[in-house]
Amino acid sequence: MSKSLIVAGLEIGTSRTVLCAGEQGEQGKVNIIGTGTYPTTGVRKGQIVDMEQVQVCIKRAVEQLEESTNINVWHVLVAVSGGHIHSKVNPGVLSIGDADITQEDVQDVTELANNVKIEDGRVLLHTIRQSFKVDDQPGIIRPVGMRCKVLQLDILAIDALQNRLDNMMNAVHKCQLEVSDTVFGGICAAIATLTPQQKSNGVVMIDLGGGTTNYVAFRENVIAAAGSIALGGDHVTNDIALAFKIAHNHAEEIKRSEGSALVDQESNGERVNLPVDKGFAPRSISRKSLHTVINARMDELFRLLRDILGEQDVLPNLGGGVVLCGGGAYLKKVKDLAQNVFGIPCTIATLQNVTGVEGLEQPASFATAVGLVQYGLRNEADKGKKGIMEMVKGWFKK
Amino acid sequence: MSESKKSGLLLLGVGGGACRLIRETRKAFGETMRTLCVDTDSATDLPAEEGASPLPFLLLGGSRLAGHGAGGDFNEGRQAARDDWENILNRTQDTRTVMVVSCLGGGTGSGATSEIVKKLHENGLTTFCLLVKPFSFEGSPRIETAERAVSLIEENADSLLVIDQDTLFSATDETLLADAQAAASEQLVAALTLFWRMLFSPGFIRLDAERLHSLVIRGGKTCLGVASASGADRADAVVQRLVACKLFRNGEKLKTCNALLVGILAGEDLRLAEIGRIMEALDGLRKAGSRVEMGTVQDAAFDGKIELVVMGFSYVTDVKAPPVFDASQIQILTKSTGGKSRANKGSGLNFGPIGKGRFQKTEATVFNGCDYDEPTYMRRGITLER
Repeated sequence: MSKSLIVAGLEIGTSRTVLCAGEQGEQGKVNIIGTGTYPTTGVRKGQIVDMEQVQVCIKRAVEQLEESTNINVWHVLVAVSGGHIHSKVNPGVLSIGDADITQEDVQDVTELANNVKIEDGRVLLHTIRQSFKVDDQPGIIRPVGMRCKVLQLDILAIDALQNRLDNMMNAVHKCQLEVSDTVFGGICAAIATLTPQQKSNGVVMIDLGGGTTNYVAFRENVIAAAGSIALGGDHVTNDIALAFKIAHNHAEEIKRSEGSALVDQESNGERVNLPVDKGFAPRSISRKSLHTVINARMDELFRLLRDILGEQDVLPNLGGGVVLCGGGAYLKKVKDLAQNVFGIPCTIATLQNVTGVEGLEQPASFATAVGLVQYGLRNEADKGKKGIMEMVKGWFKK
Repeated sequence: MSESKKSGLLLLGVGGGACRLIRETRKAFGETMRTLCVDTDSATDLPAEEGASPLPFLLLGGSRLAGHGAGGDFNEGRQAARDDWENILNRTQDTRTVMVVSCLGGGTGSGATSEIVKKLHENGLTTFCLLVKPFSFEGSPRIETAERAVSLIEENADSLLVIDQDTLFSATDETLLADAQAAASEQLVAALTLFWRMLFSPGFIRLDAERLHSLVIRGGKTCLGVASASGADRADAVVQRLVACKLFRNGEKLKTCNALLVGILAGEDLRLAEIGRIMEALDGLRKAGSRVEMGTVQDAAFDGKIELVVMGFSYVTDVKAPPVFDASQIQILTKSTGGKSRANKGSGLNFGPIGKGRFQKTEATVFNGCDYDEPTYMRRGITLER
């Protein structure tokens, strides 16, 4: 019996909990062997507000995955998102004294840069190397052998609130699962969706989730900016519910079936029938008004992202365009709206370097969970060992 | 203390183009005008002309750009404004309404203006922005930068007047470039000067700062027309020329405005009947029920001539009553202020109770003082059709 390393990634999203399992496939690709999904309750804007409900959602997703794949899940990687996630560039500066840079210098400056000071109550999720600055020359990738006086390395540090992570870990633990690692959801989605060419040209990946929107921007193959804002498709639904005084589930339904991120001026006079609860009279609303409400929210969201990316000096370097993923990417005409706001080409993501996802409906909405699996497998391969995530196919058959 | 200081008004020019306009306006109006010019290019800070006091000037982003300008870079302009925001704020003491003038397309005009208007808004100051967009032949990068700036400024400005230079001169116009730019500049200076004169110079009817403030605070999108005429039929002629003014699109724009600010500048020979004829003619052109604020300025230097400036504001005047519930006809009614955010605005309109729905009890998502959990269409003042 051949052993195969299987990694499971769990995303507790605001609208859906997704558990995805995969193994290393052929030609460097990751083979997704199964997914389990369940509509989430008890999460608002990426944060747990009802622990018991969240546990139920996790358990249902696990059950679905286990039933469809004949594996038992004991360890999971967990994706983290939410407005509490912050990122900043932390520079490490090393004075060399007019000499050639050595590998030791690089190690020393890396250590300095990795020494990120974070506020009390926060925990460091990732430190990502950006580029070196050799004296006054920025953007250096491999500085060893160059002559300089001062060597600088910029590190992108991503941190999160400890208590929010603890809540998530507790919910997972109570479902008899071990958390092998926590990963920022934006990075996972970027791993799953971006091509090397896009990263090289400069690209921004926007994951339009239910409660949060994650973004990761690449410039010359390096992550230049990353973050999460507590706005998402749920805000669109909430706006619709308030605008037309309808139930949240009905608002979600018409958003999916009739929604559009752009207002069609020719839709004047057109009506959209609302879902009818038993005993209530039929109702309809203006299609143009529906689209206006959605457009206002999505336009605002993209403008906010544009401002944030502008502040981080990322916008002038996006030759690879904008890549949208997450459930929100399937909102009608959202790509056109993003294109209008950012003024650069925009596309809906396709999952990269994976097999076994052909049957998935709206595959870009699985980007975070699939990326988690890719992240986990890559990490394990880097370690060169089979760690606690190892599971053996067939050994735990039900 | 200058009159404008007493009234809490400040004319602020951002970027080289706007500073030139402010300089000309001040020259035409006089030094009692309270002005401030800000730019990233130290060359804009020209020495005072003989006998005149220097134009108040503030260099933006000196430590970042060393006074060499933003080089057309939007972000540099924005950062420069951020660097020196405290200095700008110090110069806005005793100010309530800031008229911001900016020529868009470059780094400072576009980047710094959007940042400054945002900050003024956050500090509770009312802003009336007069933005000049570049000619289309100046190229798409400048146009795109200008468009981007307008969209950002719009979010925070109380009143917004965008002048597209293309509307002044058509592409087939044989006007020389230098003449076109000079004429555009002349019109803008005339409008600004008359505007200021209406506020601070004695006239038959004076527009006070309070009335201006009440218009600007509700302003929304704004349009502008300027015309002058002389001779026996000058009252009729000036209205005809105003209607023909390209900025007013042959008078069509007047019919869409919910409030008009009318300024009449003339010599001491201005007759009551002439004011009546002008206002009567405008009555026939404006939207029924629209509000009109009028002021006159009399200056002996203008004997024999009438100059007319009309500014139209498109704000929504009425606040509709709460909807009557009808299962088949759900209507959403909100107050509108012309599509801009009102967060943190003491003097802003009250939209009525804003529900946050399912986010009522969650940690608020706040950026730049704005609660993003409140529905966007409400914050933007969008009225939804049935």
